[in-house]
Amino acid sequence: MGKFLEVKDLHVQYKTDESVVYALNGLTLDVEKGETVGLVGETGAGKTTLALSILKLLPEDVGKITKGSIYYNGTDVIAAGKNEMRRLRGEEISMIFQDPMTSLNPVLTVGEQIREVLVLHFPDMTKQEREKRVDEILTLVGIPPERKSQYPHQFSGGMKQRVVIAIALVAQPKLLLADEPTTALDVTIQAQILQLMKDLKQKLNTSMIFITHDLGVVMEFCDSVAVVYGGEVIERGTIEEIYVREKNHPYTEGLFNCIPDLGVDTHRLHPIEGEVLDPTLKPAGCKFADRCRYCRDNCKKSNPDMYHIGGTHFIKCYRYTDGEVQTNE
Amino acid sequence: MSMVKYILKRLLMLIPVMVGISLFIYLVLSLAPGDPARMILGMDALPEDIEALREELGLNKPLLIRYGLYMWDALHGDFGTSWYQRFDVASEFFHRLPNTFWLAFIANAFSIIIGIPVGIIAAVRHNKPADYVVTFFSLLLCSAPGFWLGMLAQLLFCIRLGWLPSSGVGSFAHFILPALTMGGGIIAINMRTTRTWLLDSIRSDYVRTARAKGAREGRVIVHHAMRNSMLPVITGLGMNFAACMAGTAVTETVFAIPGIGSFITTGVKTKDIPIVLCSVIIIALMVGLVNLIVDIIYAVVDPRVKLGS
Amino acid sequence: MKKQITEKNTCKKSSQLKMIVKRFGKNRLSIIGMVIILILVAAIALAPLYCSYDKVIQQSLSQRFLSPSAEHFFGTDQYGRDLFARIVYGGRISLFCGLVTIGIAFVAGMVLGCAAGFFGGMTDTIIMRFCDVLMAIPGLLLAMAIVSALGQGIGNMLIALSISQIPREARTARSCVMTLRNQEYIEAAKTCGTSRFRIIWRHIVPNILGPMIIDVMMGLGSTILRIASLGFLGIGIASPTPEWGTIISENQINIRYYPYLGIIPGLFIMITVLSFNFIGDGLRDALDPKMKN
Repeated sequence: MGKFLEVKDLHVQYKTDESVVYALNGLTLDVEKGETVGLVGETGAGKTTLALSILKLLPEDVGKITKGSIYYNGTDVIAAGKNEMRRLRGEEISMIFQDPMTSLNPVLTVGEQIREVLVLHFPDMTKQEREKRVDEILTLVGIPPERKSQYPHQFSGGMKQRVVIAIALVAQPKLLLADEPTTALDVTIQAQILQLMKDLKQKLNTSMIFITHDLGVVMEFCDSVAVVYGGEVIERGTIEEIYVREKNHPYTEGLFNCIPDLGVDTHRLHPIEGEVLDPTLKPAGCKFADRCRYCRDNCKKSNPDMYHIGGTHFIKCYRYTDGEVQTNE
Repeated sequence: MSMVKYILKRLLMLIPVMVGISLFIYLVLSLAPGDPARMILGMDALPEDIEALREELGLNKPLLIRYGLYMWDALHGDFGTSWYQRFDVASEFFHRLPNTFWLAFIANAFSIIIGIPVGIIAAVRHNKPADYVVTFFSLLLCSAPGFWLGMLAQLLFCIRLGWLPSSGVGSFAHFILPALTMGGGIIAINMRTTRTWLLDSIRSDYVRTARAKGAREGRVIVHHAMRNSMLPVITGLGMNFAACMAGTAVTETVFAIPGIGSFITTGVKTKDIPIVLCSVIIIALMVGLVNLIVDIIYAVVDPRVKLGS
Repeated sequence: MKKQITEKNTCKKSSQLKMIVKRFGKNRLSIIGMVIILILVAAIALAPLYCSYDKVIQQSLSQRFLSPSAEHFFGTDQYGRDLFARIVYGGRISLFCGLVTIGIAFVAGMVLGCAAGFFGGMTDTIIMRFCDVLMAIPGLLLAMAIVSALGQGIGNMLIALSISQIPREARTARSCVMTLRNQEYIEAAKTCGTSRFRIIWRHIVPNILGPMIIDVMMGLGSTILRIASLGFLGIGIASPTPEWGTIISENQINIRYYPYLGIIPGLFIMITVLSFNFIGDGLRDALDPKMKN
């Protein structure tokens, strides 16, 4: 178990009265110490599910890990008991939740909610030390420490997001799961928050899974990228390997084509044809086959493996196995 | 302070509502057929006597003037005299009030002490046998007529088993069954509200945040989920009190308790309008005041409520 | 082209209805409730076919306090009247009064609530303040007070119960209208010059029907309980006309030795109210799946 975080062949299902949703279908992902991985994909691809699985916080009675393994720093997370999980949560691994509006408890002050992490994990700390840490982290995320006695409803959306970040960071976790931390925010505040997280990452050498669908942010912020589609990682590599756009998964190609390029004089964008895969279906072949313009017979029959392209670059597509390999024209 | 200001403001707001209630009830009850003076004096009374009594009761004045005079007296504690038994209605009302007050108080206490913990158990054990049992019984309690449950309880515990006194007042034991009868519905309501909102809270994002911090399940429920889910339960307390007041009539009839409920029932049955008028107005006032208290508690618990706005 | 669109619309509508029926059908308790109510309604409606009204009021000293048997399913009371017949005919009155009350409250509440919510301003203030006043008095007490003014009898009781139920329905309707009023599609309809009446009828009423029907189902249960309470207190339906609450009241003094006389009519009230509550719960889940817990 050399890797810091190792997720292997993870399958997660959501069962409701009406149907079964296959959220993750054999997702595999490694994260090194200090590495920031950008997790990119459409809504419903399974990004948030992955983060919740690592913390074992899938909605009770509904979400279930059916297969696969998660190892964090040598610890088998799936087999870990309640006490072990409680120690990991908050202290070792923490999560920045997507929606700052609902992620804070409306009846507790912001200070209480940040302090709670310290109370839970550092019972030996004195009251003064705790207060000092809360003040420090608030200053760090750009909130005047005097505001810690206020309630969440007295904060704006961007400020709430900072509070959520402060809660996630106050115990200086070793692994941070950031679930679209900036999607709900204005562009200017987005930039501030990103800068803030960048600084923290450097200071604390935190590993991070950064969930987003913004390829621009990934390029600026992450060391490597994992593209997720239909509950699987379909392309994995460093920023350079993927952004050079020589060899890409057809879906990644499609994602890049959706970004307007000011340098090139194009008249229109090229959206990916077709619709996102219905997650209640479980096709035998490649999940992207229906929308893929390179689709061939065997794509619909069996699911391709991850093929090594070079360096740390892997692509899950038949185009890169049987000699057809070609650069983008 | 703002709290004092808030309370004063709410008390002021109660005035127009009370005027509305009293006016409405006064007008409705004035529709009652028959001449009160003739009813009081009997069928073979002399016309002169009837006319004299009409003058004495102010029955010859226009309706709105009569209402005004009635309210003026009421503000001074005089709610008139019973038409048939000639006693002072207000003093009889306040003489009976303690019985009903204790009954309602104990019923509400039961609804909180029993209803909320049982609701919490159901929510925490969601979709397990305990949850089904609680849900089923709360539905049953909501659906059964209170007086019927009271009668059955009386039959079992008082007559067959002889554990509790079957009627009248005098000790705490006298109040247990009536309070459970009166409180049956609101116990069930508290169970259901607690269960529904606690479940809602447990599934909320902020509870997930608390879990992600590594908090124990017990702490997550008590510290994070419960305070939020108690807000709707607190809101319901005012309505519960009103429901209790509506239930006084049947409960007091079953257990022969000389309280306000049986007072009103007598008034309605004998068409003794002053009794009905006095009781309804004062009960409405009490319900209004209880709601005010509930709102103040709510404002203390929920930081989002801004007093005075 | 236009035809295609309408076809698409009807297709969607029917599938929506199908979804609701399907979701409702999945709720076992509400199906049980529905079946019970249907059996009850059939038994009550067809009563004259298998049980004559004579049995309800005919007194017979030789037949007093007979235990349940093949001849008298639920036994007889202190006057030798057949309890089964009294309950069946009593159910006619209890259910009929409940339905009429709730029907009046539904229509009146809808009209008042829509008017208050849609027109706002003075109309809203007057209607809602009036509702506040009525709701400040506990429902059963208000009904009792009105009965004492108007006198006993089925008609007066129906008026009294309706008046105490209308404000609740009006409030539900109004709060629904208030949330709808500022929705984009209402704005859009206004911009198109649609008349107010048409907006209310075509756009608002269909959207508030769901919450109103749920409310009415729940209200039906509590109204039947209120009718029984009034009967029990002796200010609703007067004996010897049978009504479930009145029957319990008549037998109250005898339940010590003949418990079935009190237990059976109460069970009928409870099961009926329970069934309506089940149906209401099922409808709520079916019409508003988000509310489901």
